[in-house]
Amino acid sequence: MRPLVVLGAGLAASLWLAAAASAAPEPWRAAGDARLSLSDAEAAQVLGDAQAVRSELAQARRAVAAVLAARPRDLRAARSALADAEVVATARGERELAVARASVWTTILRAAFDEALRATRRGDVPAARGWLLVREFRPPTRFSRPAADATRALEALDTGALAARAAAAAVRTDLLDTYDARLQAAVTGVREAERVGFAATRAEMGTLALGYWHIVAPAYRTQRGGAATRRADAALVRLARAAEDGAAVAGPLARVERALDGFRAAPLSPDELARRAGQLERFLKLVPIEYGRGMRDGRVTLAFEIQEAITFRDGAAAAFRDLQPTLLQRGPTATRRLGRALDRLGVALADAGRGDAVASPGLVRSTSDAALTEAAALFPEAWKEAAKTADFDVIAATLDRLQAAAASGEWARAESARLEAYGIFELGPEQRLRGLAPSLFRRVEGYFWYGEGDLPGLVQLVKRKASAAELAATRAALDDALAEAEVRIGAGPGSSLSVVANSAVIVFREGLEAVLILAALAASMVGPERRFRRPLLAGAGVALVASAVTWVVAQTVLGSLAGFGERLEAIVSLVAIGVLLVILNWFYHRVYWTQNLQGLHRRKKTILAGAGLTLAAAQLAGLLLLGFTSVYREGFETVIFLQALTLEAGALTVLQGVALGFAATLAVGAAVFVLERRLPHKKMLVATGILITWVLVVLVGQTVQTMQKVGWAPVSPIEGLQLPYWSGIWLGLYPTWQGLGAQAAALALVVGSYVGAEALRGRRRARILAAPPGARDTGTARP
Amino acid sequence: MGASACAVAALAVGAATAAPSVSLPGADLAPVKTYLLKHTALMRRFASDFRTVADRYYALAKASGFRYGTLWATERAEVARLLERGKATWIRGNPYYERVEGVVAGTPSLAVYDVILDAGSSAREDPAGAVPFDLRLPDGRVLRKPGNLYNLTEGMLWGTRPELTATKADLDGDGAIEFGEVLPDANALAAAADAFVLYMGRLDRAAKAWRPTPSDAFTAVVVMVPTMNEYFGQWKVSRFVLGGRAQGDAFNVVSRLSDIGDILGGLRVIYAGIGPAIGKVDVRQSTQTKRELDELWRYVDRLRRQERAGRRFTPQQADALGRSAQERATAIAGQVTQAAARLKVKIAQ
Repeated sequence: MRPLVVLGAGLAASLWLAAAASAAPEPWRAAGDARLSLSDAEAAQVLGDAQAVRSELAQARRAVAAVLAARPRDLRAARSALADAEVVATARGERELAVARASVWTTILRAAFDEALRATRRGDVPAARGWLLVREFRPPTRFSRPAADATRALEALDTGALAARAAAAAVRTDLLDTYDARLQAAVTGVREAERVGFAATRAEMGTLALGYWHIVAPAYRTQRGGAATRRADAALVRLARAAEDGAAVAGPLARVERALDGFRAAPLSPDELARRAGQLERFLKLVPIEYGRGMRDGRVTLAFEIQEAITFRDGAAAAFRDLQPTLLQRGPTATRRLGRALDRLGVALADAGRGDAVASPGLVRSTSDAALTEAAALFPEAWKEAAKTADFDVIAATLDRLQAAAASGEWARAESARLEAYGIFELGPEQRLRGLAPSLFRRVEGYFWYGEGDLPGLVQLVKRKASAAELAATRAALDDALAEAEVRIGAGPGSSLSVVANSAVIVFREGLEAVLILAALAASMVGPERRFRRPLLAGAGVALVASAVTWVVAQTVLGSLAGFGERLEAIVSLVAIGVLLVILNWFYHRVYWTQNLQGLHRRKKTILAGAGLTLAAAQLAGLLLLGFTSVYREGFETVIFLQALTLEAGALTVLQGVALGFAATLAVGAAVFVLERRLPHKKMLVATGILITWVLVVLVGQTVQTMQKVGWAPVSPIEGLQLPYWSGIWLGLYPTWQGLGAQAAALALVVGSYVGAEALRGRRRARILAAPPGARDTGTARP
Repeated sequence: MGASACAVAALAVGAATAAPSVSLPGADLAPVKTYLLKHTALMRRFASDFRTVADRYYALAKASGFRYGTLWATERAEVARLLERGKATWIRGNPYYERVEGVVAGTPSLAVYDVILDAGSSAREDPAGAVPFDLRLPDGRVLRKPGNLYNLTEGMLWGTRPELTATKADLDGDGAIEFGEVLPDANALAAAADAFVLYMGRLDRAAKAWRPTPSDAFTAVVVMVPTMNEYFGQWKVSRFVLGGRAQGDAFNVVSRLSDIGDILGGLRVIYAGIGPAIGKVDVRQSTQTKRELDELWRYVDRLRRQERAGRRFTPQQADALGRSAQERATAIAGQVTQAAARLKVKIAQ
């Protein structure tokens, strides 16, 4: 009978326990209850409601038991802390309650940290999600949002996109990063509470610091070893005790700060470090530029430029904070010098921003340069090479400014920010992107300029002062495209074959443009003028050599050369347009008004002689220049694009693609020239006239667009006009009044030249026909 | 007096083209817009009433040649009555905005009005966070980026912006000049009142054109957390905590604690719109966040009722209570961010 009784009692006990367990709130909910009860107990104490304090503490006790049921040691510690608080619940025990709150809550957080990791490791996503409800976050600011890395990792684990181990690593990094920041904030809180004389706050902060320390201590041990961890542990315990007891905290604080100096619980990955390094460098370089723009004659003339300088300085300082632990290990003295330079810069800019004192642009530049020099000496080579995606952060920051300026109705500033963001894209990622993912490049460019898909481009939105929602929609799409670009660039070129193919396509595409221009020009030089082909082709040959030289130079100075990319292109294109107009003028007169050629030549000769040149020399120089500019503008562009690929895959691989592309271009060139010979002469002339006109119109459209990109020409988009991307590439058509207007003017000039020549020829023919037969002695009219 | 006296620097804020609405299963944001429009209508009425007072005061001051000693000597009763009415109008009108601040500040297309009306600093205090307008006074003076309109007018009416007040005066006639007993600069008050009318009108129009998106709603909840942190900081150094030792020129008339309660009330409305959508992916998270938000609102409401009943918190108590509430708010924002990540809703930066 007795065994049956025992069995029955055991069964009943089991059933009761099971029922109790099922009735007990889930841990995440119990943790929330504990937090609320502790917070309410504090409020009740402040309000002098002792009974409510006791009631809330009792609720906290029950909640804590549910959360920590499986962790008896933690449960004992939490109960002990609550018991201390209950003892003084009736008195004014603010300090004791504050300590109990901090102790119990950080114990719960540590339990949640461990359980979330365990659940993630075993692939139990629901349990991990539950425990992640019991967590803290880095305190958000106006500029930062709470992280969601752990949540995303669990999503990925749930869908099978991430293995349990990798998901656990992501969860751990997110949480460690959070509690590291909380630890630092608590230590700072002790100092601040000491300064203002808030005893309860000081005690609470000291206990919080110790609690957060217990969460990150294993990471500390891994990084710094057992002995250092024991020292740090002792320092934190002393600090917590001193803060609670009201003893002097200066000594313990100093020891804690020394122990934590340079510690980062979740170290950044090598990629992230390189990225921060790139940010620091890019932002610092922009500081003196923005500052200089905002100053004139020792006065702040453009306050927003100073604000932008401050924004970039702050960005550099934020990147520095992330890099500091690593940099301290590489060179503590230089790291502190770098930190001080950033601080000095911050003070100088803040003073200028407030108008208190205005530092000279020279001083800001030298301080910035000093910081950059320190950074360059400290940064390992790998960071410098791998920082290729840092431009994306600068672009994002600049686009933020665009939106902020637009929201304030400061549209000129918004446009300036847009151009700046595009400039950063163009000088950095664009070069690589053109080689790695040309279609993606076109998307990004579309969002910056005239739109992509259904969405208008930023330039259009800024010009028509669009609503914040419209700007946000295009910005979101641009962000997505840039994020994709960043991944694409970060992933590198993929296979060698793709680099060869991309290089070949670039050379062929740019080469084709040059060949068509040359073919059109050369085709116009027939008969006696065939001799003009030689200087034209010689100019093209010189351009090829110059492009090769540019390649060699670019190998060493890509960054600075790229900085001149669009400007140089604009200048070369303007020269090309000028020469082309002269040639066109000559062409029409030569073809349709031959009789007057001698007169024309005579006039030219007179003019050129006055300038100290002979006509032949001028023609030679003009044709050489035309051949040169026609090819070099493409050659330079090709070199810039290819350099990006060279950085990715090496010169040898790229050169294979160059050879292929060049061969294809030559083949097309040869075919064009053969075709030209087979065409009847008159048809050839007509085709040539159309071709040269097309070349001019395209050149004018593209040059206006280039000048708009570098800010040399205004941009006035044509509302509602959407043009496909290819129309820009092959016809130079972009939906702006300036671009289409200039093209229309160029076309009018050419057509006008033709019409004018025709009219003059008609009048002259009529005059000749009307004259007596003996007087018809001029002209060697040729159709 | 009219809009001409207040030539506020050109500010082409939002042509208010409606953004495409992105649907999120379970979310219902229509009540959020209704709530917003109800309050923007109240704000317009407040602005109109406030301008009536400011215009009348300006007319009296003008009649006295802007000699405030003469004005006070000759129109004592009328001036005292007007200023009392102006202050009462201000105190009544301030919470209208606070109740929708969460929506306005957290919605990218409306956020500029938060800067103009309630959050922007003066260029002198913080050029980076300064308001985007200059205030041109009827007498031709221009106040460059003078700070948000509520702070500006509070400073004028209660004398915490001495440069915008003309003189002190015993408005209640009790023989002592106490806090808030000043004659404001009539030009500045009139221009600020015009600006209130202008921008509250624009906010109302922008709100009508607004089509709330899940991103707006999630962002509004997340973005208000750091703002609340600032508010607790402002509360701790205001007259409500420090009494006569307070040195700030704002938040001395309506307690920031009250504002925090109003903001939380607005956030609860927003959360009611998105909570069901969160519940579709994680009912535990949805339940917990709603509960924490409700509890936080009750926590703050309890404190503000105590404060209204005359209780004064010590700076240390204010610090502890504020920090506790802020921690809870941070946890809420954090959880809403997690939910947004799971629902793939973008939180605006």
